[in-house]
Amino acid sequence: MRELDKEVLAKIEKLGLKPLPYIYFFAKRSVFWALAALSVLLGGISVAVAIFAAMDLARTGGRGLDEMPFDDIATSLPALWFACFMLFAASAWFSLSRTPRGYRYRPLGILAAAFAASLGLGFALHGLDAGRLTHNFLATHFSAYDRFTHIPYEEWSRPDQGYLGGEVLSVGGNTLLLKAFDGVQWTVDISAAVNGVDEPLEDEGDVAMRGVRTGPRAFKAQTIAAFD
Amino acid sequence: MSALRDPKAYGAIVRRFEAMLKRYVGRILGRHAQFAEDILQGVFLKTYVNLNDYDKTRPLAPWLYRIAHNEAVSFLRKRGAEPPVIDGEDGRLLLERVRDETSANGAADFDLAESGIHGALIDLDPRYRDVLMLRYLEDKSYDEISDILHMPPGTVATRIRRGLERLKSSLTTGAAGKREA
Repeated sequence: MRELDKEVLAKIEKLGLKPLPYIYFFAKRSVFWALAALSVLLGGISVAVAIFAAMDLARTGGRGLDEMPFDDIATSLPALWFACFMLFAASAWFSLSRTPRGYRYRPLGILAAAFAASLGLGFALHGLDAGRLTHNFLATHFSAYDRFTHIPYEEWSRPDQGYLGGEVLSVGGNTLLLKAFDGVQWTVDISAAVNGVDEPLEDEGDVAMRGVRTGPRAFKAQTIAAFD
Repeated sequence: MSALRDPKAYGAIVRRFEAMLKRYVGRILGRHAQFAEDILQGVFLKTYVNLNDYDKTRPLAPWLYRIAHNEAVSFLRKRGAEPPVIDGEDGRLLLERVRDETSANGAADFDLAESGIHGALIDLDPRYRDVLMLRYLEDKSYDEISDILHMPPGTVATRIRRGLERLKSSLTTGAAGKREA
């Protein structure tokens, strides 16, 4: 008959085992809590940027949402940020479920809590303008982000400075009829324009033109390019 | 808890939980039950080293059960052993308890013949086997099972219910088949 208690105590003595200090476990737990908090914070920032992007979508240089090509809408929508947000909520669940009591909660409950916390934090951060600041920071420092999220409607709605964009309604001889992003129709002289569009202009949809304004609703194009 | 860091006091803990943990580890190991004491020694060494990880607001037994469970499962995995099957006396005991409980709630017509028990328990998914073993053989509450298996108490309840349904279905089908024969 083995006497397990004596065997265990003898082995503890022989191996010189000591209980690991409390701080070790505290630090381990803290890592998970910190990761969970960070996840919720990043989720909150994602929400703030998503709110900013959604509001920014309405600023389309006067163009109605129903007139926007689908890919522009898809680009403008904060889908990327919602994806990030979901990712961060999931990582918060992963971290929280590994805390000492975290396993006692249903994954869906933890996800819902992370979602609610991120949403609440996101609205608060939006109130502090964090969404715009984050968006601008990313757009300034990451050209890929800027290319993905930015639709330059306003940049191509400045005919006085020589920038005019919109949808080609018809082409007749050296003149085309353009519906600008703000819905106003322009007559454009394209007789001297360098056309960089491969497709017939009527089929291209939106175009971007450099040139000079020659009248209240008249423009003389120097270059024509696809708008993207 | 600080008293437990004294090896002598820890010896008392080993003596107190040795029998129940040995039985539990033996149940998990099944055909490899002869290794239960070796595994248990490792369990008690591990719990001693990790004493400060124990949450003092929770009962001690589930924490020890959890470490024992993990060590036993890890042992089986390392040996590439088949998942254990609740069998023999344990199988009969489990089904008697399940039958007693379900009879009190209504009808249960179980075939407790050896072949019926064996077949029903072999077919039992390991997810259900673990919770049923803890509930009906180790007499653990849902809360304790939650602590041992690290899953929400609601999930424990669901698995126990589904496990019972599977067992009942398997055994009542067996009983009906015999009557027809």
